[in-house]
Amino acid sequence: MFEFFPPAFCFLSAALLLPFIPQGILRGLFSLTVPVLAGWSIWTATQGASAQTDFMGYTLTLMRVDGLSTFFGLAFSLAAFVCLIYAWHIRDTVQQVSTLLYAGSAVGAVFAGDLITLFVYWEGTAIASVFLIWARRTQGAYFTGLRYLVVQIGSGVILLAGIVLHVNTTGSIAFDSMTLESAASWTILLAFGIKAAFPFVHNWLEDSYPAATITGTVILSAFTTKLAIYALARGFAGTEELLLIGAAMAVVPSLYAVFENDLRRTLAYALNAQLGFMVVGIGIGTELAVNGAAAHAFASIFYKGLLFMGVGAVLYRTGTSKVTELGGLAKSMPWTMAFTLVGAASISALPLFSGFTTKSLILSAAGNAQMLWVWMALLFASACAVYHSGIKIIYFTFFGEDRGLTPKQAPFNMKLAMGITAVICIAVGVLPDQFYGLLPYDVGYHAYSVSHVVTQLQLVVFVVLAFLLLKNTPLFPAPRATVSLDTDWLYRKVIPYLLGHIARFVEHIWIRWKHDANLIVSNAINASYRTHGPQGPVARTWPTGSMVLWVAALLGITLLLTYI
Amino acid sequence: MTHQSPSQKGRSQSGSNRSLWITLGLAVLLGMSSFLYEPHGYFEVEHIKGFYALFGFVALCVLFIAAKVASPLLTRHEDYYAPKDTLSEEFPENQLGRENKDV
Repeated sequence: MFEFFPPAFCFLSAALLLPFIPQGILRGLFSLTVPVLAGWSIWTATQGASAQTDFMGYTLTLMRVDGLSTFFGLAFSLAAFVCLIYAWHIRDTVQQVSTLLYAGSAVGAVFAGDLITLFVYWEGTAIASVFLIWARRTQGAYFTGLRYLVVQIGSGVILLAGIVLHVNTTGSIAFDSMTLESAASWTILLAFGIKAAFPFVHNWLEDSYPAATITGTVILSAFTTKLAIYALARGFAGTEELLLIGAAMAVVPSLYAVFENDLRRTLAYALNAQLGFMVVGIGIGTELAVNGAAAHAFASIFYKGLLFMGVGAVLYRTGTSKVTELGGLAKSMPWTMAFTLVGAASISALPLFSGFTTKSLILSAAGNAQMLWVWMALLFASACAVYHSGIKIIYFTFFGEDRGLTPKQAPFNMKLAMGITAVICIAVGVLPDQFYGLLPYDVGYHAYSVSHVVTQLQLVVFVVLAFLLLKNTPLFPAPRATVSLDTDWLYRKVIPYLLGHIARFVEHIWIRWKHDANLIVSNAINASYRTHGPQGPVARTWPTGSMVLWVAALLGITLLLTYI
Repeated sequence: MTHQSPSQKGRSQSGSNRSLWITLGLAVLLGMSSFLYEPHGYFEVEHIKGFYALFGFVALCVLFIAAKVASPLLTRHEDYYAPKDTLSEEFPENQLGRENKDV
């Protein structure tokens, strides 16, 4: 049946055992061995291997080992490992169990060879991850978690509808490349698109990720959206519609990331923009481009995770992650600053850091395909990322206005997790050939040329120059203590407002109708009462004498008529 | 919120000036380096000398202007969605490790 034990089962079975292990070092070490074992089993798995089982007349492929699934499986296992180190100090069983279930579902989903298995793990990631938001245990987090769950479960239900249509049309449950020729594939694309935070269905990301616990946000940032990127790469590589969607995703969230006050929300917008790069890569669909999307997903998991870790460490020590309350922490938290700086350099695509070697694959693929406008949009988004994820995070947290905060350094486990993640970011930037060797396709690509290094440095340095020149002018959009209105405004304000008005209108009609109906019924009752009531003519008592008189009269008339 | 003393302000001002001069120096060097090699790109525009430098500078200006125009329309007070949002809440104290540096 199974050629080998599916690595997702390592996570899922460990999640069941975890509550029985005493809190502390033992439980921490137990958790850490899980991604190591899973990663090792993925690394040693033979390409082309599979694990199948029969279920209700279908053959489910629980494991499909190929270049794409192996790459994402390894990325998720490594991400789970650093996240668990970052969360070492957490003593909350709910968060510990949901982390393992969530990571396990994500790993399971990338190895799913059929759509039914994909659906089960797809929903698994949704249900397991919401507890990382609810674990904050506040009223706001409770409502945010509900909104998140509705969207995530909605994505799963849409996926299920798509699968039913797909099976009905093709008779196959295999999860392979699809074309947008049927309602089934459009429905499945929509389900993937919700999880990948496509424009207009993206806002669950910016709403929920910053609402999670400190460690929860780091964990959330690694899996759900990258799983959707994997699913898109598997199912819809080369779909032209993704080019426009991806370009819009890369540009529009960048604008929000500029004036957003909460740094975790800023990073959520920046994450959304980075997903745009990957979606474009998948839309281009060449081997170089899909390699680029996969590579950038890997890099993004770690540099974005590192930035979330840095801001999380600051939040852990100071109680805030808002620009308007932070500043001047460089002296108090130098290690956190150094690690966050690595994350910032990576997302800014500085040479020797991960973004440089991964983003360029997608830009080059767009260049090869001569897609000038897509390329321009991505270049614009790259310049924006230098500001909102590089300069803004670093400047407003560690420099800027000194707010008199003197927090202690981040705990050791947080620094260790940040250190390992920083090393991964640098390794991807410094050893591109070894990294490219892990990618799904074998394409010869050289990231380091004089032209590429110089032009990228020019882009970054001139963005920094523009910031330094503009930051004290009225043109500078300094973040203020505000909340941003995004598409969630529709379902959090407009629709409830309209529904309130409709409800009041219906209520008004109902009251009028009820009043009129009451009137009609009471008139009818009154009329019957008048006829049949105690005083009514029908119910009146007639004297016996008058009856006898009438009977006598009738008899007399009868007699008279008989003799005539 | 604490207010900066005049000496602190002066220090941050001089630090800011120093960063500006260093960045300006780097920018000039990188701008000039465009003339030292033959750029190879995918599009005609990439052959314009200093294209990436200009693009970076203009992109940030455009972004700032767009954000400046859009932010009054797209932002509201932090309590706008309260109590169904976390932005208006304090982060739960029992999940923090608030400690100050030993002086």
